[in-house]
Amino acid sequence: MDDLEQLYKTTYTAVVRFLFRKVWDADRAHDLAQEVFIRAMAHRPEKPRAWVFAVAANLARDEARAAIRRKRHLTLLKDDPGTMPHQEPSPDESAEHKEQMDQVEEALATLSERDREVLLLWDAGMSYTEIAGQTGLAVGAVGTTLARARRRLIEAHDNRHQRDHAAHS
Amino acid sequence: MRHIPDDEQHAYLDQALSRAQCVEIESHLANCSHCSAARDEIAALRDRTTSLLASLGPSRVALPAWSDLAVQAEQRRLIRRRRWESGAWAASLLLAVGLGYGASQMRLTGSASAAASLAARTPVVSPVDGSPAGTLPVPAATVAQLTPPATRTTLPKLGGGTLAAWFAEAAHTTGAPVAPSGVEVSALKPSGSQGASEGLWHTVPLDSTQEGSGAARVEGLQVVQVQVHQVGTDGQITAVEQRLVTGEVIRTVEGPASLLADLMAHQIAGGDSTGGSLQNGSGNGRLADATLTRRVGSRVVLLSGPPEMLSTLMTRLKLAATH
Repeated sequence: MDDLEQLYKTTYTAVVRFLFRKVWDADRAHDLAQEVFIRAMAHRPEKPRAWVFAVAANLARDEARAAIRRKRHLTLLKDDPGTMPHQEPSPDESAEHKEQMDQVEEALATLSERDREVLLLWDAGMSYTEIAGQTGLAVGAVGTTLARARRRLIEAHDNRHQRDHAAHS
Repeated sequence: MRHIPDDEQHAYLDQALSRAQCVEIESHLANCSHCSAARDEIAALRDRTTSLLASLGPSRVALPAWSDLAVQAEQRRLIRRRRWESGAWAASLLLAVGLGYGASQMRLTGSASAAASLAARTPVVSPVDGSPAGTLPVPAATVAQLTPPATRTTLPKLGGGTLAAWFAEAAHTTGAPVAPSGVEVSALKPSGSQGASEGLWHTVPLDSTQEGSGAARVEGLQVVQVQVHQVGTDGQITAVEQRLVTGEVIRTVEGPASLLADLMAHQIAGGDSTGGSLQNGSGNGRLADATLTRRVGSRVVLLSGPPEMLSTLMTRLKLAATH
């Protein structure tokens, strides 16, 4: 197994989740994540881990610019139902999960783009050095940014939660 | 006493500090209740953030097989290589025409020796040979240069599902075509006399294919490159790839229905193939070409190309008179 394949096995899920939090579409996140690794095979980057997330971020940015929900394009994997065993959650589980997701998504949207990016990169498992390399921040500024981002996310989420609670009671 | 700033607390908990910095912070925390309380609060904040973000994402992430991605990457590599080859072909033709023109000019100005020198270095049939500029044959040396060398003597079985995959795989084997499973390939028979090489895939002069080489091909296209290969003892299967000036590729495979059954099984959705069935293929990681099939007696033609123009192409399909 080569290094890239090893990275794929350990990082694919993180990349999908990272992308999902940017494009908010599970299928699209899968498509883009696969696109990232297909490109990685062609480029064979020196620092594959950082490269993978940098490309993922760029793809997500392009996606946001396009600002349209495109239909499925990646064909090979998607057309073969055997390779993508999606297991649907139960309706209750799905509804609850959806509500929770909406709350977090809304809270995340209140962050500045820079704070959000740093938080998501950290959550995807990148180190301060890698985050600095990708965002152009000084390594020392990553901690400051993360501190602010975490606090704002929690505050926004709790505020929303309180609002919902007040509305229901 | 200086307290530990927030960002350092975060960096400490995120294990982003050096060993020396950690030692310094830990010794401070042991003696400062204010900072140790802040550390606990930040740790809780950090855990909550992680927990909230964990809820964001597909509930389950299935890992596609690495080999599937590798197939797509390989197909793209082939497409890129073909584009490059196509570009190189066009560039070499332009260069040849340009040098030929230069040689003719030198001859006209009396520099016969210079023209001979240029001509010797330039593998080209130049306009001075009498061919009209618009119907220049492909320089033989250029053809040979673009022909991939044959490195295999055994031909693998058909692995891919679609016509495009079949062609892609054929190209991937550096020159040797891939026979559909069940087809015994005991002799390789290049078609056309010019540009012949050891490999089956070879670029043939445009005018040669325009005259017809026993291949199923579409008439009247503005092609920049034609590739032909024949498979089988009597060349029972002929595959033709016509690259248009627009960059699109029209592919045909013609042969006995019995031998093409395997390929057809992937192309035709189990229906009657006699009337032709338009359907989308999938593969190559791009918007799929469609494939149209047509049966003439015991022989079958598979035509693959851009869906919007396929029906028109089929009506212009020129079948070999011998069949």
